[in-house]
Order: sequence, then C-alpha cells, then structure tokens
Amino acid sequence: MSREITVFLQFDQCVLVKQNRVLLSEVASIYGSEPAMRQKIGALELHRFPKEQKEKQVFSVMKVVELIGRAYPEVTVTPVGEPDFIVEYKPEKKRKFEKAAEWCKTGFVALAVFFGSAFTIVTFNKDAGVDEIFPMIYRLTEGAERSGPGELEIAYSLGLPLGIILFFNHFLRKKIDSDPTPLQVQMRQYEKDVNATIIENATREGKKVDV
Amino acid sequence: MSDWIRTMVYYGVGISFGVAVAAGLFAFITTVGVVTRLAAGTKTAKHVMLYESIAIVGVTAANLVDLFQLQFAGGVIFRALCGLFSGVFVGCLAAALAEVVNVFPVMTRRIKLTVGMAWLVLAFALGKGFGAWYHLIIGNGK
Repeated sequence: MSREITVFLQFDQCVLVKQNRVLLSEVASIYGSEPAMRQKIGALELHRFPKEQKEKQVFSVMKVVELIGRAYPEVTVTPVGEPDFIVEYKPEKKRKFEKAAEWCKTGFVALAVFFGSAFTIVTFNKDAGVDEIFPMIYRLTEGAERSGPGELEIAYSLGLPLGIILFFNHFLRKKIDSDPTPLQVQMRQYEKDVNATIIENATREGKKVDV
Repeated sequence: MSDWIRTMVYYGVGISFGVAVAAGLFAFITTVGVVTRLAAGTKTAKHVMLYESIAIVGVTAANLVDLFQLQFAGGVIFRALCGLFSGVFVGCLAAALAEVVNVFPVMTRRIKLTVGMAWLVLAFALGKGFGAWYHLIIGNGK
C-alpha cells in the first residue's frame, strides 16, 4: 500500500555522546524526502550503555540498516560514509579540578616541548658542527680568524625562529595563511589512525555490534 | 669587496642557514610525531598551537645561549627542570622514532609475539634509562 521511501544516512568515524541512550539522530545525519520519516528514524534507539562510565563501542552500519528495516520495512536505507563507526560515551560529570588538571597537563607538555626543542637545537648545532662552519666561512671570506660570534651567528639566530614560524604557519594566534598548522594536520592524522585501529581491534575481537 | 657588502652577504647567508635548519629540524620533529603523541596522551590536543609557539621560543632561546655563550642565573631547580623535561622530550623522540620506522610491528611479526607488548615497552624505557644512567653517571659521559 505504501510507496517506497528512500532515506540516506551519513556516518562519521567517531561520535561523542553524553547520554547513555544513543539515538540514531546523534550518530548520523539523516536525509529523506519525507521529514516525518526522518524524525521517526532519528528517534530510533541504537544502543544503551549499561554503566555510567566512559566507554567506546564500535558499530557496523549494517546494524543500523537492520534496525531501521525492523522498525520501518517500507524504508530503503542508503548509507553513505564510513562502513563502521565508533560511539564514544562520556557521561557528563562535573569534576571540580578538571580545568586545573588540564592546565597542569598542558604545562607539563609545554615544559617538555620547551626544554626538548631547546635541547634538540643545541644537539643539532653541536652535531652538525655549526661552531666550526661559521669560523670557516669567516676564515675563507676574510682570510683571518675571528674571535667570538659575528654577523653569521646573529643572522642564523634570526633565521631559526623565522623558519619555524614559516613552517608552523603561525606565531601565537597570528596565522600566516588559513591552512591548518602541520601539527594540527598531524594530530588529525593520528586521530584517524587511532580510530581505524579501534575499529579493526573490535572487528577482530568480535566486539563490534554487527548483524 | 667592501665591508658593508660582505656584511649583507653574511646576513643573507646566515638567515638562509637558520631558515633551512629550522624547517628541517621541525619537519623531522613533526613527522616523528613527538608533540602529537604528548598532546594525544594528555588529551590536550586543542593547545597544539601553544606548543608550537613554545617550541619557537625554546629553540630561539637555546640557540642564542649556545652560539653566543650567554650566561644566565639558573639555580639547581632550573637545572633539574631542564634535565627532567629535556629527558622526557628526548625519550618521546626515541620511542616515536622507533615507532615510525616500525621496529615493534616488524619484530613482533618476525618472532610471532602476541602477548606482553606492555612489557616490551617497559623494557624499552628501562633500557633507555639504564643506558643513560650508565653513560652519564657511571661513565661520566665519556
């Protein structure tokens, strides 16, 4: 009696939820020609986390197709995007020192980056023999030894921060162009690798929610 | 060659050296993913731009101190901080480097190791620590 309805669902690789009841509308963007059906599908419950604690669960899109097929057999589901996705459940808890703890951790990493990069440049200078190359250039161009650092050292010291600013594409919050910085790119790449590994592990250990 | 031309050349050459070295060094650090891992481990990825800025300050300051032999007042606390945190960073660098070149996956596949990965990592860390201690404390860094 009813005509066929097609619904498109797009999934992201990883979604963060705060409630233990996970609805389809939270994990996918849903499009279909009938808004009422979109609403009904969005309200379907995909999963319920049993405990009030941080947890990650991997789902196959097939599970979603089955869920919709059971509730609304007249609907044709067309999934787009990731074939598997992660739902990360993080119950909202107000911890007092969360902000302070985060700044402590940031401070820790900042100190490691500061002293670490300082250490690295000095080891580079020593390893590459910068303190021999500059005197050599003075000797070749002036025909005599020089005592102490001069123009080359000053310019090199200017060039270093300049190079890093060019490379990282910003200083403090001021960006040179609108591209993300290399570390931001690397960060996303790392995140993607982690997500892919979580999905692979869940598949291999049979912990993925599948049909 | 008059003096000021030579000075200009020195500055041009020096700045080029600096830019090239900085780009190379930070391309290396970024590719190896030390800061990324530190940020991921502490879940502070949103402060990544702050870390980049701090790296710029750190490199500039240390390079000035190194090349111009600057002396500054730094007590035992500064030395402890400096040693501890450069240790943390170099440790991460070593571990990340081993990871990037796929030492662990290749070795575990070769000898079919499936359990005890955590122990392997612990052994790696202890080995680094022991090596540094033996070289610097017992062997006096020679």
